[in-house]
Amino acid sequence: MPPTAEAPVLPFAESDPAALKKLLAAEGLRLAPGEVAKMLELLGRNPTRVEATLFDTMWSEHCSYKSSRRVLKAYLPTESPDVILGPGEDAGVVRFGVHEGVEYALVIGHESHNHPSQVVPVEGAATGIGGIVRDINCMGAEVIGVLDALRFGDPEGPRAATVREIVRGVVDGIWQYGDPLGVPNLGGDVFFSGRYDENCLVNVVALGLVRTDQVVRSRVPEAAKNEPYVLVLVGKPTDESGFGGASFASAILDEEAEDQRGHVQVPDPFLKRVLFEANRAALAWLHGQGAPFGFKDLGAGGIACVSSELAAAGGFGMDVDLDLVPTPEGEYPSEVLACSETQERFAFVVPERLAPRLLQIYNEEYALPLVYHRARAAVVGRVRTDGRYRILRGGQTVCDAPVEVVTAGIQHERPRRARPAAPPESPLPPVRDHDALFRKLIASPNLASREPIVRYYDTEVQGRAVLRAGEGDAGVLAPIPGSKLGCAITVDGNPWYVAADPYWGTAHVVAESLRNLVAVGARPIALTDCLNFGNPEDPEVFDEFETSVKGLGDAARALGPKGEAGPPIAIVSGNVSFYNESSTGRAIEPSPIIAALGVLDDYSVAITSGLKRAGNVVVLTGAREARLGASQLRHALTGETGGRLPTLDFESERRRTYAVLDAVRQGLLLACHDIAEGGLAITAFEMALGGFASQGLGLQLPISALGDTAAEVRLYSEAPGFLLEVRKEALPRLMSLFAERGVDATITGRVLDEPRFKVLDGGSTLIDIDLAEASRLHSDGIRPYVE
Amino acid sequence: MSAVLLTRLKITDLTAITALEAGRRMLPEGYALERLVREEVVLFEPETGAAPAAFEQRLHEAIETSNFFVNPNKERFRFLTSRERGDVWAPPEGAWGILARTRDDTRDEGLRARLLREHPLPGLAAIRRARVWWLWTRGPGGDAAREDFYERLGPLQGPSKGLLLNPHAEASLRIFGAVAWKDVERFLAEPALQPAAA
Amino acid sequence: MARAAVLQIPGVNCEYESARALEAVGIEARVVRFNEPASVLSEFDAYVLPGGFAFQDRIRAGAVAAKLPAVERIARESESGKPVVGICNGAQVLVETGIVPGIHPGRVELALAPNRAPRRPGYQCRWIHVRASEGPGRATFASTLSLDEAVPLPLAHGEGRFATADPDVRARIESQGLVLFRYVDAAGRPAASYPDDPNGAMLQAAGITNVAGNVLAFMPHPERAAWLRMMPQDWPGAWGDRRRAAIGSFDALEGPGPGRFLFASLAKRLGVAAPEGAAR
Repeated sequence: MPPTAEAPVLPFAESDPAALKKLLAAEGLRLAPGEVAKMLELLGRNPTRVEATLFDTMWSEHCSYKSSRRVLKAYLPTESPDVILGPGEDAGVVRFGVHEGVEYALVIGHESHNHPSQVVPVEGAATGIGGIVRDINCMGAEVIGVLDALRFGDPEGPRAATVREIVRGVVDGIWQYGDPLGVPNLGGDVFFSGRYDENCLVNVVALGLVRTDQVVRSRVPEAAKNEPYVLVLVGKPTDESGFGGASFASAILDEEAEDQRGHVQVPDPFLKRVLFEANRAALAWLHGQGAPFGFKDLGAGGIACVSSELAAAGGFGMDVDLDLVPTPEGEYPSEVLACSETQERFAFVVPERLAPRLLQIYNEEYALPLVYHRARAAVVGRVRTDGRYRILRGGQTVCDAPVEVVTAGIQHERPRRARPAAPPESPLPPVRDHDALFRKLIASPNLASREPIVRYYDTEVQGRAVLRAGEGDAGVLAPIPGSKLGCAITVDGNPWYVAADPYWGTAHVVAESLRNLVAVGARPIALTDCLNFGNPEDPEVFDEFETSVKGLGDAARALGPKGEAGPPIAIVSGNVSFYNESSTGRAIEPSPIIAALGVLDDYSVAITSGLKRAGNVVVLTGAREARLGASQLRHALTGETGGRLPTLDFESERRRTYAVLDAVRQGLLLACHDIAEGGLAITAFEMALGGFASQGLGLQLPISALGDTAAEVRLYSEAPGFLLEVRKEALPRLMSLFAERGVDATITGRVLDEPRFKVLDGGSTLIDIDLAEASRLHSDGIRPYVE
Repeated sequence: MSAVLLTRLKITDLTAITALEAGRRMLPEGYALERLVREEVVLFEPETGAAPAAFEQRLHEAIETSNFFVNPNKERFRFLTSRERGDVWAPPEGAWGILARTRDDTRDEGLRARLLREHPLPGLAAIRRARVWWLWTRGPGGDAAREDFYERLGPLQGPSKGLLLNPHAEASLRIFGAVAWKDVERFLAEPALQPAAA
Repeated sequence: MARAAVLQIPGVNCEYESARALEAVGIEARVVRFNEPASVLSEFDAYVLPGGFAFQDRIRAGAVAAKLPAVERIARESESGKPVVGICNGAQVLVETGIVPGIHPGRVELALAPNRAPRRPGYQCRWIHVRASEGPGRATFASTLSLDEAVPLPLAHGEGRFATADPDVRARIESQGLVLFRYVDAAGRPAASYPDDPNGAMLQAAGITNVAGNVLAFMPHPERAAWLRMMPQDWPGAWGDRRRAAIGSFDALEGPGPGRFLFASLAKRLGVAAPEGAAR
């Protein structure tokens, strides 16, 4: 490269506090004054504009985990025999199984795209999907599914019109991105609550499949000591879209939302699909060459972030030449080229001798410049063995520092203070008309059918589906053609639970996610978390965060198959999203969202939650405890969302969970559904309805054997448990399996050959509804918010 | 007398680039397609007898501040009140146009309902949608060649004839010079374009 | 040995499962990139234009792809009687070339218009039922299928409504038996309303062939139902019963599903002896 001059610098060192504040604002930087001091100390001089932008991005909460890292490290188990790569790379990698002598792994990642989705719902949500699938693909894996966990405000509340536009926009963004990409939607969950009115949550999970020996690391390989390696940038031409995106994701939303719309990225699923195909060919060719290489996607911080992180992870340096970066027509400042979050880009580090052929795959065979204006693959940098990291532009050095300075990171110790205790629960008014209450609940936003949303999602593409979103408690795939191996995945969260009790609420979410896996016959092998909270500088918010993470870690350790004595269900990937609140200072409910991944040695055992045959019996496991705090019932009757949560006893929960797993694997059950929001009544109703299709069966549910509490406790207590459909002939085996494991079981119902749902208590009929009518109520519940 | 919203992409319009490239491949020697611009057209139709001015100001604000019509991230727009738009719609300098509409009803009732939920706009009867392609062409015989270009690049008739709309799903109006807005309104309001349905 | 090309146009996304469905019935399948020399295509005995979003549906679905040299080549090969099936986006491409229905050769006579459905129209992914009719395409695409059967299949599209502005074309499509597949209800009766009729297509058409019967434009996705495993477990009817009976049986689930007929019929037409258990 040609000799370079030095670029002008920003005069931070000479600025007094007031001038510093002004300078930061003028440059559009969100660094805190203390962070500027740290940057000056690390660099030993004033930064160039590119350097300041780079630190601003790398030290954003989104990229640096500056508030959360200590807490995550302290509480979360990240290793188990199932784990190949835990947190640290773009996505976690776990063992899957062997088919025809080849060992396979599953790759899982979990991200949030909350703030952008509030401001520009369609692009915000689409970019969320676009980002997480890149994380999976850059580990060398084929992306085989996505899920989305969505939290919206009250669609009947004071901001109903805006909330509904966001619901609609987010759903549009997800399908308009996911469907052309050709990745099936495997499920998700949706929760409505007024505290999301001004700050929706869009969490996305993606799943990938890769041969274990073809996992690609995001780093310059050791071999770069012995031969020249270059940086190859692939994909969309770099422009100003998404410039400042990472800092934006960590900023508090304000009322002037439209001013922020320009920060949002412009995603393109079509180009991504073409890139995935080209990546498939490029990776196959590179694996065949035998030379080690690195691969990483471009996200927050763009080229500067990806190049410095690839270099630092391998212990190398890099020269990046911005003059070589493909762009659309027009002129772009260096800091934009270096740090823009332009979508649909990847970066390789490969031996220089392999670069020409690699470029040919993208630019000729997969014709990037033809299919997308100015898209292409180009060599834009060169690995240095001396650890120096430079960015060059037009003969100037616009960034020059040891790579470990650039990637040093930053940490903040945040103070904590427990929230004052909530006032005691108000007593529930008595329920006089159970039938009317039931009709109201099945159409309420949090219990209504998700079908109006799901039918926009392609659940079938790739032809790997075994159970789809809504068919069973978890989505199940047979990812490898011809193999018995199956995998199952679910994503869960209950913000009212966590708000009521951050520790136990979070533990309940973990337990529910594992119940969802075993219900389809999958052995849990890994968890991911996306931790969505308010402002971490607020001591009460930070206390909630830390307490919640502790509950997550403890549950993950206690609910492994052997409990504390054995390995945990490891947390292999995740994300922290802070500052989820509006300028009025109203924080969202603390919202840890957990995805759980499981494996089936033989996918054929997987069962749905829909009832299968008239005359079969329905068995309840899990006592209906008289604690209704944070339940859907309490909310429906009082409008309150707090109170005492149902007990979660790790030991009995663990025994029940794995007993159910064994029952499914042994073929003792025909349908299985876990009990969560809405309790026994809603669980039973959903089984009778069939999640995806209806055979015209019904269910009779006598509840007098379930204790002497009020009927509404028995029907709507959200204490953990399962409802199981069992053939009469299999009942003795099920009962003895449960007895051996010390797990309770009560026969609670019978499958009817007519489409009715009946709940009886002693001599009285509490609920009696035609399922066709109930189905209409249920599926029209949220339809007006989506259509 | 409708108000009109015209939106264009400010990011690269890949559809227009692709149409330009495909169109050029379909033209014989001596025919040049120099430029192609795609614009989305939204007409806001007042109730019979209602004064459009009653909602136009509020509508303008709604367009500027909401995500209903324009995404400032990707699009730029021109909003013309019924007074601002005048009596005729003139193509951009040097261009001629093909206005395309669905053969179904052009009204977007869902959008109207959603818009009215957030913004009371008394007197707004209907929102109609269409798309206009502006073409800058040069061919033998000057402007007389526009007919010929329309035949070659307009409604799809065969594999090498027609491109920009499929006449079995869409109908089109040529805009060779200034066109009266009332003719545009009439074209978009025409209900009798349904293909024979099942 | 018969060979089929699955054409990979940028933006399609069903090429691999389509190829697998062909391989399952003994047809050798290769995914051919759109920019490989068009002459390569002549070596194949049959062609599949798979689903997806070719060229991002720019201008409209199928419009750009229909003018590719590779598609022109396939159209020309079809004139010699070689079978061509366009699935979903592939159907949109075929309609835009005019080879379906091809009543007046060289003319485009159909469109796949945006779905017409109550409340919010647009893209949808759901399972529906189709039923085959007698017609020139039956020998190639539905020879293994009984005409009484209501076949459950998934579909996923926003523009799937077959439409023509030409009443004469419509009359000829009907009278010549070119509607090979119609949407029906679970009992096999003509689909009267949404959701049995998912998009408002003319003549409840789910699949229309050309006059010669060797080219099919088909909106549902048979490749996503080619194995029993893919069948929704709680679906009513005979296929649902088969799926439920197969819980716990890997071998049964790896057997044919309701969408297999299309590939099995194609294999029969090409004279391929299907592997044991693969046909139906």
